[in-house]
Amino acid sequence: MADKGKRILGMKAKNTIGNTAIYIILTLMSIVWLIPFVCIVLQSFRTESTHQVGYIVPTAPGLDNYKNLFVASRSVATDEYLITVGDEKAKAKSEAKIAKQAAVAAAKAEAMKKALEAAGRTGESSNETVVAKITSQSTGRVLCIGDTAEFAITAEGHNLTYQWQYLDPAEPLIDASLLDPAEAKLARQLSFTQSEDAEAAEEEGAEAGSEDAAAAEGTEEASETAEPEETEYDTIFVSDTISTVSLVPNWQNIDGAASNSLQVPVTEANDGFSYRCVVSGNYPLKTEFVGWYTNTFIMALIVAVLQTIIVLCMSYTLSRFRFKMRKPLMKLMLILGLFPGMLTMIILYRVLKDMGLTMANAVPGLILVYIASSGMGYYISKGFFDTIPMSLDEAARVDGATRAQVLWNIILPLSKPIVIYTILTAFMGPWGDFVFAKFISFNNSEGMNVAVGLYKWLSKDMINDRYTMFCAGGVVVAIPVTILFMCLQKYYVEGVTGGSVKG
Amino acid sequence: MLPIIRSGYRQDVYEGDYMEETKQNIFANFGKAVKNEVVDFITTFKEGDWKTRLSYIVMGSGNFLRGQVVRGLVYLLFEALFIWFMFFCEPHGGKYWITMLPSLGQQGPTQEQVVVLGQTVFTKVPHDNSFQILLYGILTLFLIVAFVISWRSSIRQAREAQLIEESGKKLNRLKDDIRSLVDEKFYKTLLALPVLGITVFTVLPIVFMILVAFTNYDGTHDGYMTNLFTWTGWNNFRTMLNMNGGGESYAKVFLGILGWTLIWAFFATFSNYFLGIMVALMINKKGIKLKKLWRTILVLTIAIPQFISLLYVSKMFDKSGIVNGLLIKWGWITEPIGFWTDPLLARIMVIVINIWIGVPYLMLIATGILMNIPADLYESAKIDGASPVQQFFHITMPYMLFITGPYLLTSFTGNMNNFNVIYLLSAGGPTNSAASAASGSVGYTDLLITWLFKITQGAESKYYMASVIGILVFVVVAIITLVVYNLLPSNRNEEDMQ
Repeated sequence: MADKGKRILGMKAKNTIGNTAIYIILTLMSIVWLIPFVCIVLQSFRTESTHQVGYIVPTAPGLDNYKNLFVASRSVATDEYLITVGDEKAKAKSEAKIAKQAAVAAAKAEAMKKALEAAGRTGESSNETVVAKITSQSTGRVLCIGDTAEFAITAEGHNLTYQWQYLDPAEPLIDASLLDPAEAKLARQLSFTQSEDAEAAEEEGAEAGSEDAAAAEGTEEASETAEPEETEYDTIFVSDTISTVSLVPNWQNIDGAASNSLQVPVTEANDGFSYRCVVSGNYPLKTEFVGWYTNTFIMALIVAVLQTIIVLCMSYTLSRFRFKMRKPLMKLMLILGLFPGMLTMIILYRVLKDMGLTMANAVPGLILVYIASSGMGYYISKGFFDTIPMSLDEAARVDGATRAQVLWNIILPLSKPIVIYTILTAFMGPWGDFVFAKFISFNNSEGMNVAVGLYKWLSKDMINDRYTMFCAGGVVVAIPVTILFMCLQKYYVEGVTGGSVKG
Repeated sequence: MLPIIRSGYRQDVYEGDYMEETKQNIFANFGKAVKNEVVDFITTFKEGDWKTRLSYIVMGSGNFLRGQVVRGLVYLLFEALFIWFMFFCEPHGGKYWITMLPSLGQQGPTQEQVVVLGQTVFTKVPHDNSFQILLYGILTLFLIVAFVISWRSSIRQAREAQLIEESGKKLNRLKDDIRSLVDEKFYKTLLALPVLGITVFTVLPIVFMILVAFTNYDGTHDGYMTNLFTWTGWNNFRTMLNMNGGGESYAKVFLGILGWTLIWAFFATFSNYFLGIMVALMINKKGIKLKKLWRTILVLTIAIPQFISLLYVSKMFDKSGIVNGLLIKWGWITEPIGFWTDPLLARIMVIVINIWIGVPYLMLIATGILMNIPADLYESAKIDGASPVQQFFHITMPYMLFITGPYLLTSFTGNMNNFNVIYLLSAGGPTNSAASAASGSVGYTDLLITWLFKITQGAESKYYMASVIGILVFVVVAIITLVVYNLLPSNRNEEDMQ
């Protein structure tokens, strides 16, 4: 008796040691599994402007990254206008020249548009509503002493503030490290908006092209300067670790000029000065991220519904009906499945492009691509339907139910787990899809899904600014999907294991 | 594996149950069927009345004239549409596409001057469009096949209708047809949409891309605005498989990448498989508490979209990433480790990180299967004095292998085409400069599928090479699938486990 007890105790002790080892292993695994997720959450709260990826813990935690995802507090620097003082003769000459240039530019724009239309490249207009554009009575004109240069700016947005600035040609540059942090941050934001505007400009295609052409042909007196501003500001980074010494334009604020128009008397003193206006304000729903998020969400919802219907139709049919083409069909799909799916992307892109369903309109195109061949993924749910006894169908058929009634009234209620599994995987698909979305959106921010958009933020020239925002974006994407997954985990596990046990 | 690539989630598929059916010879009954068709075709004409014979020319007339109005009209409409499309469709009908198919277009784009307000603007004016010719050419061929099939079926239907009429029974009317579509012919209703989608979005593109492998379709021959493309025969395959091309030919690059793809698929599949089973055994062991917690933590990597987790982890191991940062801070290293710049290290990294992504999935599957292992197997083993290790190797593993054989196979081929993990982690890097010189940018961790993707990017975009790679991937995957499937225990001795 005692001996037996000892043995049991011994076994128990041995077991406990075994269990302790398992607990240790599981704990270590859990830590390894969680570290990246903890890190990404921590980094998403970093507000430091450092682009060093290596810092985990935020020293001054804040919600800036999250705010920036949804609300763009953007500062838009408008075109620069140069005042050049000249004499009356030059003034008249320039006026005539400007009139001629305008006519040529208009004609060119028209021709360009026609050529582009012939090439089938139009129809991709940007719906960017945040516009800030200086219109000036004296634009492009040689001004004389005594004239008044009038600038006006039209911008759409909320809570707009205007800050007029000038650039003195005598001291055009300043050391960036001398700027105070707030100003440096503005400069940083400026570089964002500049790049976004550049994208918008590219999309506009025809118009932008003609403008550039006009600017390039413009005379010395032409006041529009089409300088690539972006590059100038890109050097401004006041980071914890690296102090960048770089020169940036020394814009000076004009005190008291805070309305949307500015009048400057032309004197000898401001000969050669450039003027510009920085418009700041909030443009909710205008951030790229919100666009990507909505795109993905819309796709996920529609795909979840349609793909589920198609998959269920397919798998139910192949499980329940015996018809002549059944086996050839299944063989065909098996063979098709062995081809890398990406191969089809090359042609689908061209076809969808001809239909106008790429780039900015990528969402309907992608939905089409996702659901069109989703019938091929019927394996798991067919396996499930196979486990529902045929005798149920037969009994109902004897009672006079049609096949459609059998499906609707008998099979579907029994198939709740597999229906939920199918919906869940179909819903999660668009959130994780990368290749197809990348192909079809084709570098157009408007048509991207979150995966492609956030991938863009990690590209070499953006990662410095956007790394922490990527973390925040990742968290925002992951939270709803993860919660949904965790809630429906039971069904997911059933689907996955059911399929594999079926073998 | 289409679904896997598409979703980014591991929707591995199970092909087992009808791989078996594939084993039957497809062509066995083919000759017989053809013979039957011909015989039936002739008898129909011999024995048919004028209504039936008319259906040889006017489709559906056999049905129409016997009172099956709607069915007859549908056939007739299809015939009319077909003839219209082939000969009268503007600007280009089926005839044009078919006649252009052998040349893929005659006239390329030309430079033309447009004079606007005294300013001369040069614009390119496109003429023929090789891409459309190839695409619509295939579509037209599809349509002709469909037409022949429905022509044949209209004749068969006419005969059936005649026979039914002669036997004095009542013919099916529209109402009966509709009823049968939700009843015994319900499968037709259910399959219509999915099959249409698969035909247009999978079959057609695959046929197209297979044909592209025999052309010179690339960025500089886009068939429209730059240059037309045309047939080049087997040239592309020769380029791809030519071993005598000097130092780094396509063939060498291809074999190198294929080798790594197979190594990757092997390690990615089996590391996940065995570790997954071990984790499942640990979590499901009797007496282990907090089962749900462990499972939930591990399952996080399935729930969170891969592009977030993989991209983030990839940046963690960057030269300026968290890992290097911490190691330097703690003084363990002085120079950052190039996890993604050292070829061997990068390859190890993708396999290790894939474990992080893949083990939870295997854990779920293994859990489901382990629950199903009959408990009496273990009890009798215990009575016979088998140690837990022996039990694992003689009961658990054989059972698992038996059940998951087909899964392992699909998971292996799925990993061969695992675009997401490679592209998001290393983007194929570090660059293999020697191989890149021969064939675009190629990295040490590139799989065939990421190589295919890279080749289609950029200005050159050698689509024809991409499609050659795609075909070769298909061949490799098909061979592996066929060979391994026949070796699987679950396929060979099904009785053993039962």
